[in-house]
Amino acid sequence: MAGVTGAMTSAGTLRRPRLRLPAVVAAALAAYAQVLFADHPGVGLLVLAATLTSPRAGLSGLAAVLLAHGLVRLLGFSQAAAAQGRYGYAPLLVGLALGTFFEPGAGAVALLALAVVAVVFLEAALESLLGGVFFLPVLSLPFVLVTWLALAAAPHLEVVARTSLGLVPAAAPAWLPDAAALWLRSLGAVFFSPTAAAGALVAAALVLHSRIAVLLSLLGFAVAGLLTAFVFSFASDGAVLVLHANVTLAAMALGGVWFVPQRSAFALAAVAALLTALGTAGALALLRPLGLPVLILPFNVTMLVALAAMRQRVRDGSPKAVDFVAGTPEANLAYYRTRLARFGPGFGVRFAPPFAGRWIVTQGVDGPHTHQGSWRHALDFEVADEAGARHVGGGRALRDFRCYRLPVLAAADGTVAKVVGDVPDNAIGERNPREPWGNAVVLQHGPALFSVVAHLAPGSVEVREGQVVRQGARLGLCGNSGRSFVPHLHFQLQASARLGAPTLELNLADVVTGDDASPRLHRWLLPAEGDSVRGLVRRDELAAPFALPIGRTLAFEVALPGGEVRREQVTSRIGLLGELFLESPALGARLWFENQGRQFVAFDVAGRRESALHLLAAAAPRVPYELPEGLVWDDVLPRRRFRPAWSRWLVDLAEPFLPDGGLALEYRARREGARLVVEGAGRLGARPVATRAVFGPEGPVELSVRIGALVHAARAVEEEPAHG
Amino acid sequence: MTGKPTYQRPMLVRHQAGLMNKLSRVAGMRPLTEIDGVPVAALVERFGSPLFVFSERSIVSRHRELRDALSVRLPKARLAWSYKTNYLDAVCKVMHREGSLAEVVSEMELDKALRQVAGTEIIFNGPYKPEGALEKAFRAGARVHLDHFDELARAEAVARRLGLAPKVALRINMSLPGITPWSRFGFNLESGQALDAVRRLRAGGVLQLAGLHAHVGTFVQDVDAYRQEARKLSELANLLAREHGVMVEWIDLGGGFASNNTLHAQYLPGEQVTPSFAQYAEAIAEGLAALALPPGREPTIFLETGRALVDEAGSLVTTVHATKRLTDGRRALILDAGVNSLFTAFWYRHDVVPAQPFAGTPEPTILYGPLCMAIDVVRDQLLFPPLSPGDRIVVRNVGAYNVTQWMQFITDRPAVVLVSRTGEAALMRRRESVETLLAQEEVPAWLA
Repeated sequence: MAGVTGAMTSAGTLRRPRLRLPAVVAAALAAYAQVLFADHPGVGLLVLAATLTSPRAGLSGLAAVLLAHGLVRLLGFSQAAAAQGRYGYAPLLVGLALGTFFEPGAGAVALLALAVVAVVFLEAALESLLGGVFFLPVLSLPFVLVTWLALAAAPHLEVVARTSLGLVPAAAPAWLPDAAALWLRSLGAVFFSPTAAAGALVAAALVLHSRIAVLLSLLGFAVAGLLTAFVFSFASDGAVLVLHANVTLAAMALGGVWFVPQRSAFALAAVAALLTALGTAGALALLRPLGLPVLILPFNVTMLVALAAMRQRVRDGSPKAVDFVAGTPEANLAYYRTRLARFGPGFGVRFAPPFAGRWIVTQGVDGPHTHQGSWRHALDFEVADEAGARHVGGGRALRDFRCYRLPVLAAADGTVAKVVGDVPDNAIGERNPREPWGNAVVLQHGPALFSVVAHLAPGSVEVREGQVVRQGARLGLCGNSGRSFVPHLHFQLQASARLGAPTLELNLADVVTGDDASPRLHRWLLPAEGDSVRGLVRRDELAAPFALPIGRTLAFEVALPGGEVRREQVTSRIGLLGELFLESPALGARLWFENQGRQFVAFDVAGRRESALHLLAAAAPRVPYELPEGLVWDDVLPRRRFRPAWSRWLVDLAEPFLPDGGLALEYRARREGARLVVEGAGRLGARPVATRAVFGPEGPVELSVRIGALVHAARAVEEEPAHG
Repeated sequence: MTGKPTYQRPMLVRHQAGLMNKLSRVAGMRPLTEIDGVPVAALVERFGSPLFVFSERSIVSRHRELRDALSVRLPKARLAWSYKTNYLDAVCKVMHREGSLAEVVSEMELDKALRQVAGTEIIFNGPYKPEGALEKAFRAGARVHLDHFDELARAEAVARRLGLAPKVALRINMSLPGITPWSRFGFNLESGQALDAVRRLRAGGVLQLAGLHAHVGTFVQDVDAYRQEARKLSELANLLAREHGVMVEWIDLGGGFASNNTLHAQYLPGEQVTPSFAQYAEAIAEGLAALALPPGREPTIFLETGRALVDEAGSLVTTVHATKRLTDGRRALILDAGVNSLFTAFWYRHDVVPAQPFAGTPEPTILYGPLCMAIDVVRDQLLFPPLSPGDRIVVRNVGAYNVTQWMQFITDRPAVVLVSRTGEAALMRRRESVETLLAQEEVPAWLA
């Protein structure tokens, strides 16, 4: 789908090449990492180590994970979900809990086995209900419920409970400051190992996973600390740990997983931490008579409440919910900011101008005439000559107006939802107050996303309701029907098919502004009154180098900044959702792209930094299939990719609070014989950045990125002959 | 003018009532003293007389007017500069800078175009494409438009020899009501010859059919011809897609738009009857609405408009050499430029104005060139103010075909100058001299 931005491409699912671990090992490690919302096997390994500091509980947890994995296979649940650890983390926690609460024995083993079966079923059931119906995450509710059940059932199975049902406090090294010890123990407490040693391993896992998550956990810790110091008073050390564990998890999850970790998400995380603290205090009191431990129930409840509540917002802006395939908080932040900068605050559908050629905006958003109140987000267009004249002759006749009876086009792919076509044109200077929209076509582009073109000429509408149209298809001709004094085109977005519905925010994608001497391509633009804009035009011959037919393999010789030269092969592929990408199997790198429309767009690139795909994404993030003399365009690349490796983890800590902008580069292109040369320039701090991409008829032949004195370059070489 | 009044040559005029008639535009005649801000007198002083002067501003603004008229209706339309209309390097450069491809009809034009643009930006038309030219075009990746079956076979042979499978177009001719058919170019549509050519080309298995081309005529003032041409080519393209599985990538509608000149046989002056670019574009868009190719496979539309883009940009500055009274009473002016430089005088009643302020009563005048030939008439009848030797005249709208079809006959071809958009004048072509002539000549050894 050419009109959809890279929302479907993943920011984080393929950050690094995977070790080829046996499926069961990978799934087990993923289950351990999942508790921290991570998917890195290293994180899983560190968490596993943390749980094994309490050997009995740790082994119980491991057994539960392995048992659950076998069960999931037997039941035929999604293997992909299993590989991500989605059926493993709840059994892990159940195993840890039972291993902590009960003395080992045949009865305990039997109870563990039953509990694992129950938690897998409950997890799957809640996934169907919460996930399938309410689009809410299941979190660790199955763990909490099954653990309670097991505790209540234990007496009937002759299982011996430990003396204390609470979390057993454990000493920390004397040299550790109290606050640090508490933070570490609260991290360990999540895994029923409330020791500083276990906590240190969990903290290491957290640092490996995400520095922003560490920051969020400290935020949660600070909120919990302030509350326990000044507001709440708890009798037991165990209760303090439970509070800290819940609050920390809540801050990490809301601020880093479900929302893009910007300043506003940190504020939201702090609020969630407060609510979780209240929930924990309340739950402690409510559950005491039942003899049930609080576990991480408050975290679960607060998360579901917060996520459901935030849906009532009119606009999902700040904080911004993660509405794409989530990765680490760092990846989410970089992906969202890059998407916002590159594709605008849109709806995932990119709207081209609803006309051909260059038109001028005669009334913008919040315009003085009719674009007000509920209808403020609308644009009026007319056609003017180079001197700005919108009509020839006296402008007394409809025909005098340059835009009159020019084709009006579909702004994006869609389905015709409504057509009005028989309202007569007004004479110049008159209007029709009874049918203000005149002749109009309403297209549906998605759920609650419609576009309207209005004031068309009578009898000119060429489409019928229910018809599927592609971007650029002719809908009708510009006219002067409805509330229109002179021929013009009215364009707006709205959430329903009704004419007169309130307008939605809009912008136009991939438009060219400026006169013939200095044309500029905008990735997206909300044009103002007086701006003249036109859409890009596809020149088929310029699209040829970007055809990249599926299965085509390109071979590169890549010269790394260190002087090393290596060969790399990338292959053009298509995914299940129809997404196109170039893949470098050796380096685990992928570049998602779009090439079917009026330009080549590199959406996102993942994988090892040595890959030539990073060069392609930086040197040609977009190349229009139309290059009028002097065309300039800019694009934004994620800054993180260009930082030296040593500084990246430090900068991650500051990134949520830094200004939004990425690395902005300005691009130009020229033809050199049969070759197309695209050059970009920008600055990274004090260092100049220069990119260069040369395309031959078959694809890229030269790519380079120069940052200061460092050069990373690749050139196409003949593919190595296949063996055999 | 202050100071000394302009000299007025004494004359006798037969008294007659009412000067208004179909030839009389003299009432509105104003001297053209400058071209884009550059005084004509200064130009002549610097570059000599006669002198062709081109206005870059006019070329650019006409080009953009046509481009914009097309782009609001046909986003994928592109212009291809018709080299034969005016292939001075500088003029072609302006056209290419504005985004035009090159449309060439001979190997010489092909060579000229290859110096300016990539081969893929060239359309190669015409009934005469020898093997060498075809080879050059295929190697460069030009779009070759085939004109006849022999050329098809020749193109196949060349492509096979080069190991290429070039994309080509077929030129189609058709009968359009009210237009003299040009059946000598291309394959006829109505007789089924065009479909024969399609089958023959596909059977050959060497060339790829990727385009259709037609050209309805020249100086076509009836926009309906283009509507019909576009519709017929669209229907042919639909048929090719439906029944032959050929999705054409481009449709070339040729050129032939009229300029603001007035043909000898025309009653009303050109600027009153020549359709605007918007009218041509609208007719073409309406005709092309018949195209029914799948979305995303819309062909690129080429137009090879030449004359209408460049005619108005060119002026010929000439000097009155002598005046005489003919026996029929008409005044005759002998100019330093005639049909040798102004080939289009055979076609048009050129718009002629004095280049300096004038006074006196206009009288029937005939404008002769410098040749000792009876045919050398620049304008055979117009009401013109009385001028004197040394006075300058500007012949307007002469930018098309003159600097390609001019003759080297008994004298040198004049210089050609371009006035930039900022009022700067520079040579595009030097005035010829006897050396130009001699450079080509050889004297056989036995005569030396």
